[in-house]
Amino acid sequence: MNSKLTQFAGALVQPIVAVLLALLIGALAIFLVGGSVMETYAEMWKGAFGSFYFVTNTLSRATPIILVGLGTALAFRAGFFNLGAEGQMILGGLCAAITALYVPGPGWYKLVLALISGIVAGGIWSAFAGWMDAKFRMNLLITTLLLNYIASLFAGYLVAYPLKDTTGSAAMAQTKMIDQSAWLPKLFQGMSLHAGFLIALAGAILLFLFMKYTVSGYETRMLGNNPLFAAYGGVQRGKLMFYSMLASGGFAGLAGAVEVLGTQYRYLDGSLSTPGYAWSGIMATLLAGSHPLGTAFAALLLAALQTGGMGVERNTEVPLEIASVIQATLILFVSAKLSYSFLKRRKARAQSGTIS
Amino acid sequence: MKKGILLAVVLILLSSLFVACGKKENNNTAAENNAGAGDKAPMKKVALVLPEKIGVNAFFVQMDEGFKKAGKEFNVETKTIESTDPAAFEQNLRSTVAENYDLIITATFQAEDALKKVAAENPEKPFAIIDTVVDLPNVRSVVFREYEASYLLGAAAGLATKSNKVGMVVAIDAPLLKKYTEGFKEGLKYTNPKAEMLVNYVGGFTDPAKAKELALLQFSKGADFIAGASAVGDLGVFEAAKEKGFFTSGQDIDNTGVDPEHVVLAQLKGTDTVAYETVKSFSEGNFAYGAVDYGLKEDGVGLTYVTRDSQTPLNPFIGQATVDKVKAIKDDIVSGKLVVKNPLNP
Repeated sequence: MNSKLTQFAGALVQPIVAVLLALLIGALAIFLVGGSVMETYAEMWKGAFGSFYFVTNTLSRATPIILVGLGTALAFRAGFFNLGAEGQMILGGLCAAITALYVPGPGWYKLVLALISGIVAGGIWSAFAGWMDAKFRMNLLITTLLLNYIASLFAGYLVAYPLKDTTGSAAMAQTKMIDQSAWLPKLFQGMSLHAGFLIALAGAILLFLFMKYTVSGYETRMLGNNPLFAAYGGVQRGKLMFYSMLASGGFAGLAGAVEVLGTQYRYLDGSLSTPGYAWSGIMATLLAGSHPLGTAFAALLLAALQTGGMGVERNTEVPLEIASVIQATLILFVSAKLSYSFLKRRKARAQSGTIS
Repeated sequence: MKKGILLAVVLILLSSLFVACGKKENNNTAAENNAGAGDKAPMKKVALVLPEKIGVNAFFVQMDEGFKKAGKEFNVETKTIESTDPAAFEQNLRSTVAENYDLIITATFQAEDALKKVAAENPEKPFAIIDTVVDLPNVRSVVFREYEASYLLGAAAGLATKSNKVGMVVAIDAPLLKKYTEGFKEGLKYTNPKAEMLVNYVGGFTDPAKAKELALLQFSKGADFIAGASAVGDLGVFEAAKEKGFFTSGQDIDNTGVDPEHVVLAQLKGTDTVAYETVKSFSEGNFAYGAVDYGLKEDGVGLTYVTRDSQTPLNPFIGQATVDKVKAIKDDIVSGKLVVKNPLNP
């Protein structure tokens, strides 16, 4: 128990150090543009957690990031680098919007169907990349990345031409607005937080339980940790890859669906890609070492940096870009962690005399 | 050792407490001084929340300038807030409500969705939106009669063209931009019925490369004057004009200075004026809801040399005679003798 606790603390030390160092460099950046460091950080804190209202703001920003992060965490755990969360998210959002718009029936029915269609669309898009890897040995890293462009441009085309909303000023590439009965309900009156956050939270807990207590979860982890051993133990790589990619994309698709059904109420071209939800989600996964609950926590942290950055923009003269600078330094320190553990592993190998 | 550290921590905490108290006192006296000097109601706070970053977009740059100028002149606290993406924009808009700004101004069709939601949820809060109409009881919509200015531009083009072919490179094929194409067409027909008008759509507001290709296409079809109406894309039209030696015009601000030999006119859109006027009417207490529009009469839109002087000398392609004639047309529009119809509600 005690050793577990220290292990847990040890896992936390690195991210905390990374955050502190990033904040330090951010302070330097703020100082260089001539802002007051303390005031800026105070506004940042207030913008993210300053009042109940801003906490809900942060949570709603975190919702899609958590879901994307969970999906990526699952794939990373299984040893598959799924970098296609953005495309999967976009297709999920688009399909959810189309379903909610054109399927007849009562509101709750449309809503449930829209969420499912989002999961399915994202899952299929992701599994498609997995299938290409298994069948044609196409590198997953490259296919998932490139499929992002296909998805986002295709969605952009659909909403700019056949599905374009021609009511109102009609100057934007977007679908019509979804009927109010099929919206994900807001949790509090007048705030942006919607029920998608509860879905994300449930997803994090379920994924955690799945990874820890089920046979498939064990197989998934095993495949990621040691593919050869897993194969020796009877784990079928191809099958497991297909399913883990399907689930991974499903989470990303769900992220897109809740964002569409809970915030925009329509698919608006660029509304899922410009905020960089997918990349923030992947970052959260890296920060937390693919641990589901840790990923959710890291996603919250990243969202807090973003909403905090908006607070800085609103209430100080320091430009919005400074929050991005802090985020970027965070990525740097995370990558430093990766190489650090890599070095450690090499050292350990050298000691045991099995450099291959 | 531990005790020593503890002592140090306590000392630091205590001293910071003293510092804080000292500061507070200072603040108090400062506030009292202020109150004594000003002796007025607390300053009103107005926010300008933009759905995009301002960057080099003249439309927003101007608006921000007018907004800040009004803040200074009417003793109103102003704050301009830029947003990175649609979700962030909605959160910023909601936050300005939570942070209790007295008036919240936003702009462009990109803001419609979010404003409709937020304004409907906060019926007590005054809002204003520039450049599009949101029909809610607590929103003041400020729009422009761009078609009056593009009428003048078309009229000038009709008088100046030698080949009887003029072109226009337009951002996207949407009803909103009919305000540019239709006005231009009518003006052109008024001064030169024989002239032909070419229209091409870029498909976006930020694509200079494609806008340039379309301008080159129109030039190859014989147009000698090609008006840019594609926002950032106009830079591509200017570049094409420089390469091929035809004449062109810009939008929103006076950009004849970019290349005086080829950029010969600019259709003006006074986003600074309307931001200024909105804050002004709010601070003077005669802020009204509903839609208001600004045209030639209110100096909300215009054309270089005709409604406003330019730093750049007039290009001989246009010529003083043309300017004088267009000025006469402008006077007719202002006096109501000539009515340019709004292409959005025929």
